[in-house]
This record gives sequence, structure tokens and C-alpha cells, in this order.
Amino acid sequence: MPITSSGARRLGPLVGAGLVLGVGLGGFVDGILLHQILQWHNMLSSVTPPTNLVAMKYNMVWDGLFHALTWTMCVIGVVLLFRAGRRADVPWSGRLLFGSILGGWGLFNFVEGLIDHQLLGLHHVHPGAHQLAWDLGFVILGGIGLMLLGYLVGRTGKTAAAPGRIGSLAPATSHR
Amino acid sequence: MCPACPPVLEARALVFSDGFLINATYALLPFVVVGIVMHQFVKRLDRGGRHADHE
Repeated sequence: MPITSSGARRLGPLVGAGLVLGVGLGGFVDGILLHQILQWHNMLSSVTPPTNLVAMKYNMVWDGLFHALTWTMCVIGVVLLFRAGRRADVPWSGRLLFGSILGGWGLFNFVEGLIDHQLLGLHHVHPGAHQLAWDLGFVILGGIGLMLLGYLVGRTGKTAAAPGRIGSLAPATSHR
Repeated sequence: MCPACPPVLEARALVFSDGFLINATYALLPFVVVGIVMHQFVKRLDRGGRHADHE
């Protein structure tokens, strides 16, 4: 949408890009930290526990497919961010972007925690003793907590946002 | 490990067995739900922003 005479600003393109990037980067944190470095769980470790080499490799493939999805989200996020940067009606705010990334990360943790951990039982954050506490902690702190933090950070950027720098150099165009 | 070692082949066969589609659907589900929620949120945000600018 071209910039209007009333100076209408659209937060959606930047926030949308940040949210999608947050989902992708947040998914990578989960996969790299919890699946690979700490080895607390794998994608299907509650369905097929990685107790032998074949089961470990089976889970490794599913972890790879999960990472392929998070990588795809990162690519989509970068494309959306590039398109948002070319618009004159989109405020260019690092805090708004960072808040949106945190929000996307929290949203992903919240939804993934409810669907994969609670509903489908594909895996649990830290299987074994106090499994439910770990799962709930993940949803509350990693999900709701990050969304709240993202909202608070994004709010400060919403008011301090400057007009789009790249877009302001060229006539505003629609990039839908 | 090698690409054609027995454990690798066995694991790959397991992944792409009958359960593949259901597991792939399960893996995709959070991304789909999150995508719908984000799309709706951004739509509302822009609609709200435009209303605020007209006021």
C-alpha cells in the first residue's frame, strides 16, 4: 500500500517478518540446544526411544526434517523482512523487529509444547522424573514468557519507530 | 558411519515406511497452527493501525 497523505503506517509487514523469523530461529534453538547439544529429546523420542543405533538414526532423520522446516521459516522471514524494508509506510524499528522475533519464538514454543508434548506425546522436554513439570515450564516460560517479553520490547519500538529508510529513498510501491 | 551401512538403511526404511505420512503431518502441525495464528494477528494489527490513523 502506498504511503497516504495522512502518513498511515503499517506495522504488519515488519512484525510479520519478525514473527516468522522468530519461529524459525526459535525452532533452531530447540533443535540445536535440546536435541543435539543437551540430547534431552528428539523429534519422535517418546514414540521410538533412541535406545539403539537404528532408533537413534531414525530420530536423527526426523530431527533433520524438523530443521528443514525451521530453515524454511527463516528463509520466508528473510524474504518478508526484505520486502518490508522496501516499503515507505513500514516503520523501521530494531526493537519492534526484535520484539516480534521473541514473540514468534514464544508462540512456536507455546504451540509446539501443547501439540507435540501434551496432545500427541511425540516427545517431552526432559523425559523421566518431573517430566510434566519440565513440559509445563517450557510452555509457561519458553512460550508465554517469551511472548510477553516480545510484546514489551516490541511496544517500545512501536512508538519510537522511524520511517522506512530504504523505502523513503524511492517512491512507495506495493509489494504484496 | 557410511551412507549404505545396515543401521542407516534400516533407519531410512523405517522413516519412509507406512508411518511416514502421519509422522510428517505431526511434524508439520505446529508450523501450520503457528502460521495461521501469525497471519490472523498481522491482519488484525494492520486493520487496527489503519483505523487508528484515520481517527
